[in-house]
Amino acid sequence: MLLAACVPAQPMTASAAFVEPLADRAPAQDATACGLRIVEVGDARLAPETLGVVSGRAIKAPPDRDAWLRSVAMGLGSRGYSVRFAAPAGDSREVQVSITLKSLWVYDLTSNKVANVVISVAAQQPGHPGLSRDYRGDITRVNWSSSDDELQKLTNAAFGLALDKVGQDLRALCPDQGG
Amino acid sequence: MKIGGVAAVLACLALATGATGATPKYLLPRDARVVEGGRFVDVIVPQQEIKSDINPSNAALATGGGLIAALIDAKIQADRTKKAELEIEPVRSALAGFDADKLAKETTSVMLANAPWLQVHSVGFGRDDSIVGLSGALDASPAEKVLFVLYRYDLSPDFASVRVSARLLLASKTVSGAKAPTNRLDLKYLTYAQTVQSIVTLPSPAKDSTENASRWAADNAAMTRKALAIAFADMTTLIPRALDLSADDVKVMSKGERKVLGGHIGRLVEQGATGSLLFSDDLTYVQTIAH
Repeated sequence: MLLAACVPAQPMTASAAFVEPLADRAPAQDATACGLRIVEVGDARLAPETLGVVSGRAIKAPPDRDAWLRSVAMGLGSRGYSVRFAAPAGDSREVQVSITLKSLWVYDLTSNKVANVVISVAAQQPGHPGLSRDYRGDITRVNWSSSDDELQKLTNAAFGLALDKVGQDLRALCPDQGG
Repeated sequence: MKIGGVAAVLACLALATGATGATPKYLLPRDARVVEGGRFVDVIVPQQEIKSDINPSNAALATGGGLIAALIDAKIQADRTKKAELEIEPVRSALAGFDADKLAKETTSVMLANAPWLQVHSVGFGRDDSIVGLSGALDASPAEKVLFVLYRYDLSPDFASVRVSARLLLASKTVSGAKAPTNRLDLKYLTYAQTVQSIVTLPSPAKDSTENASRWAADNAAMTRKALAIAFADMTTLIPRALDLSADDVKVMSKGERKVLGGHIGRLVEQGATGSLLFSDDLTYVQTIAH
């Protein structure tokens, strides 16, 4: 068993589908039908193919990172928004949003696993000064076995925490909120 | 059954040490310096922001092991990690825009200029420091010989110091006797393996880590930025010095006075106006940041 443990751990590839672990889901918000038009999603990281290394096991980004980040952006849908992807439009009542992944790293610290994510959000809506800031999602859990499921859930949970904060701030730009 | 997490790492380390006898590889044979075709230098920075660190709990060690003690350790370490990650958040936020990757690449360029005998073929950049990742990098290398420079930058568990380290590995694409590709990274097949570190400490650090973290975060993390610049700059001289060490140098250094500086234990090699150099199989330079 000890010898088996010393075989270098094969990397895992993160899923391109963002799914929030149930235990971490933000409390359900009243649906306000505030429309979000995601005009751009991007990845500003250097060496973006690696998302982290936990106990010697590399976590690789999904091959289609654009699809992955779009899936993450759709996570705003479970925070009371109606989300779609479209080109910018000057006369839209929707809040126009650009989302960029600035950093994401998943790693181990003694017997724990840690995920830190930073996403940059720029949003505008006619009549509102607009929004441009970074949002963090930081989470720590005990590392039981560095399994695919554990690491995937941790990564998604970190994104979920960042999306919670994004969702709170975007509310001010919604037309029915006076934005 | 695969074991992950800390248990696996400890088990493998125990086996590796026992199986190979762990002969230090921090002396580079002179005849290994010159290589045909030059060396590919792979800069690896396995992080995207400054890391936190904790002191591990030792209940299992103190009580002779057992499941209960291991669970106690896990709980203590979980609490310490959560605290450290909360305390470091303002430092990370204040460091927004700081490009440590660029600094690591520039540092390596200067270091390579200080050690032209390394015969650089080309330089690459990556983040995957797993054994499988490094093995893949060996496969992809345009040169037979590879120098991996694995950087790490973090804050000490008490938040008193900023630390930058570089782990140096001289590896070969082709190794006769290696049963699996990943075996090429086994210590016995590496030409050289060494770690150098620079520790930059706050003046009069507090006992309270939260207070220390506040100082590092203040003024847009001015002191942290300065400390990281100093520590990375130290790498440009520490790395060539480490590569140049001879057996006679090690004999002399091993006789130095035993010291604990910046949380690091080692034999004092030299003490200058700006800081002190310690040897404990690795080379560590410890200094205090000026106000």
